[in-house]
Amino acid sequence: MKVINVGIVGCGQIAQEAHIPNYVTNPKAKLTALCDVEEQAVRALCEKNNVKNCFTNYEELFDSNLVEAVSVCVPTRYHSKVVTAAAKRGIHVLCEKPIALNIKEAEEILDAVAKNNVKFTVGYNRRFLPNLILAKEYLQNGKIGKPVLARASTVTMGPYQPQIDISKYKEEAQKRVGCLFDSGVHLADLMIWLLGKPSEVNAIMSTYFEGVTVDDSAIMQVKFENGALGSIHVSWIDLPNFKATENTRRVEIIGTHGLIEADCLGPSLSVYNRNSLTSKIKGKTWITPANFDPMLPQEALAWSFSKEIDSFLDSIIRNRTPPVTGEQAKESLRLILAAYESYKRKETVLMG
Amino acid sequence: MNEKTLVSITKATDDSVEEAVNKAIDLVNGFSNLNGKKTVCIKPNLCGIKSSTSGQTTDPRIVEAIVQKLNSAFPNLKIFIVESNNSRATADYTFKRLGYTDIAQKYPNVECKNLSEDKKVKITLNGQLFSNLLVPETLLFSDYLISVAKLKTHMDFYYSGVLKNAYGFLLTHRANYHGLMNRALADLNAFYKPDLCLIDGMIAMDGPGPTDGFPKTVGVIIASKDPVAADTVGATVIGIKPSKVKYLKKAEKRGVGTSKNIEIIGCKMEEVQTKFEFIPMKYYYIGRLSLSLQSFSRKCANFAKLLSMTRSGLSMVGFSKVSRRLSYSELLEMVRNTISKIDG
Repeated sequence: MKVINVGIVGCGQIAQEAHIPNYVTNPKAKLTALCDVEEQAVRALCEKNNVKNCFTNYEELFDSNLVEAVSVCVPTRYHSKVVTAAAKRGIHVLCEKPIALNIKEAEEILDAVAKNNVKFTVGYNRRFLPNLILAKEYLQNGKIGKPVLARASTVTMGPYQPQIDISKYKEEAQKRVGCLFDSGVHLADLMIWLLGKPSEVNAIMSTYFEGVTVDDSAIMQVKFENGALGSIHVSWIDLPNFKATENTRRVEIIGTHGLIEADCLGPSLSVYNRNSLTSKIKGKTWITPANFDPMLPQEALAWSFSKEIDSFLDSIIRNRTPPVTGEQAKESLRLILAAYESYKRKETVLMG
Repeated sequence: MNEKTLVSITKATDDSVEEAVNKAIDLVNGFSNLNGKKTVCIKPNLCGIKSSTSGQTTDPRIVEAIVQKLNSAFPNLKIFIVESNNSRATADYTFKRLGYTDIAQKYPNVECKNLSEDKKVKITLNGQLFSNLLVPETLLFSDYLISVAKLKTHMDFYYSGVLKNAYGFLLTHRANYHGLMNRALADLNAFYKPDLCLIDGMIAMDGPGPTDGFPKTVGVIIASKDPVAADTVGATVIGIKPSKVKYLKKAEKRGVGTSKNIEIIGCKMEEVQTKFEFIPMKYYYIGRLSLSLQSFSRKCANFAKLLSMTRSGLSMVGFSKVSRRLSYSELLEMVRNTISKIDG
């Protein structure tokens, strides 16, 4: 079996929790290099994970010929620079979400990957959750009729993490642009994936944490071209009890014949169709695809990261288009940016 | 509530199958809830590959008569004839051998579906026995379920009819659950509650049923919208006291149906009632002992599983994770479920 030599640029939290462990354990990959501006930290990570090559400059890593593929986990404002530099050297890229800071940069990325014929994908790991895959299949097969209303929500601590010094919250929040941009984009991607193209959007935002200058709570409303209406609720609040807060991370789609409700952190979903057997069951029917054992949300999340990375490696080995394409990632960014525009202009923004 | 539960008994001969089926269904207003439905599943009892004349399996002519009646009243329905693999053969082979494939070929809206090969999902059931149940998507999204059982004796449970027909919906190692039949059937029938139940008593089975007994002509079709009521009447027809059939009680307690306040319409019970031979009681008790041992060994296996989990917990593999997320009551519930419940 072909083994891909992989590097990671940007070794912060997401690299440590999702990318490094999954490359280390995936037989299709060999993690050969790590790169981060924090020299001490990257050296420690290299040592811990038995990675031989440490870099503090991504250009040097890309010129080293050590890697065929790279995960880009730097802050979003650097995505364009790092991804285009990798693509120009023929290196395949898995870029963390969102794809870029703005549409111009996203297009620069897409141009670079197309011109250099490299595989490119963006880290929308939730699309790999078995319950959301099943939800999409049921939607497409008309199991709940025509979708009419949708709601997606997530409450995530974002930058307000206990291990980060409280005085750095403002800086951390700014790095992430805003909670709708950083966390809401996952839900925007899911909504588009499930319901199709958006046609109009509006949003309201707020900041509850004193001193922070970007949004840390937001609600956006979307109308889709198929007529369905959706709302996205997102906030950076640290509520670590997964069980108590399970209702805060749901995707719910109401159709003309029923509804689907799924935990954004999988692996189960509830489905109800007003005619079928599901309508006779008292309470909610929690469904898990047959080949999955019920998992805790954290386990399902870990599973989604492993599948995301596996599918990226697979797309290189088998020369396939990755399940999450750059174009799709650009569309979810476009939706989020339109929401910010709407909030700024205090009016609904039409998406042509 | 004084409303009577209707159960029809209709006499049927080889020449009057269609007429008898129509009458049996009409008497209980069997299709009254079908408006607006799109898919119907018909579940015959195909627990083996012997023909209906052996008394083992449902007569395909009854199923065809139901299909014809459905098609004439609701022409746009999609109809699935559903069954899972039996201990002798695949459902596909059984469908073909027993004439069900011919029905599917004759009517374009009819399809035979092998549930064992269907796409499945796992449902969190939290039932009396099953914590999860493997459910074929064809059944999950079907709008109307018609159970067409066979009138039989059962060596271990005295009687086999509608409730027992649901055992075919269990898709995992069925033979392992015989010792847990009462709870298994309560769970299965509560989940897959048929909208309409028919019992093929044209040629029934007595003696060592439900697979190796002897054919016995009774010449009746029983129908009801209530599975417990249908089986109460079915057992009575072949001379078995319904109170002896423990899974009937369990299912009734679970709310699957009622054995009381039944109104028999069509033929009178006295006109059709007969006395079936049952196996000698000493063999019955040997069977019961075997099933009790099976049930006991299942409990032992679950206890062993609990011990293993405890060992993992105590050695801190995963225990810190669990203890942080679960309250004591949840932990106790987990222990209780581990001992008493299984995956279906």
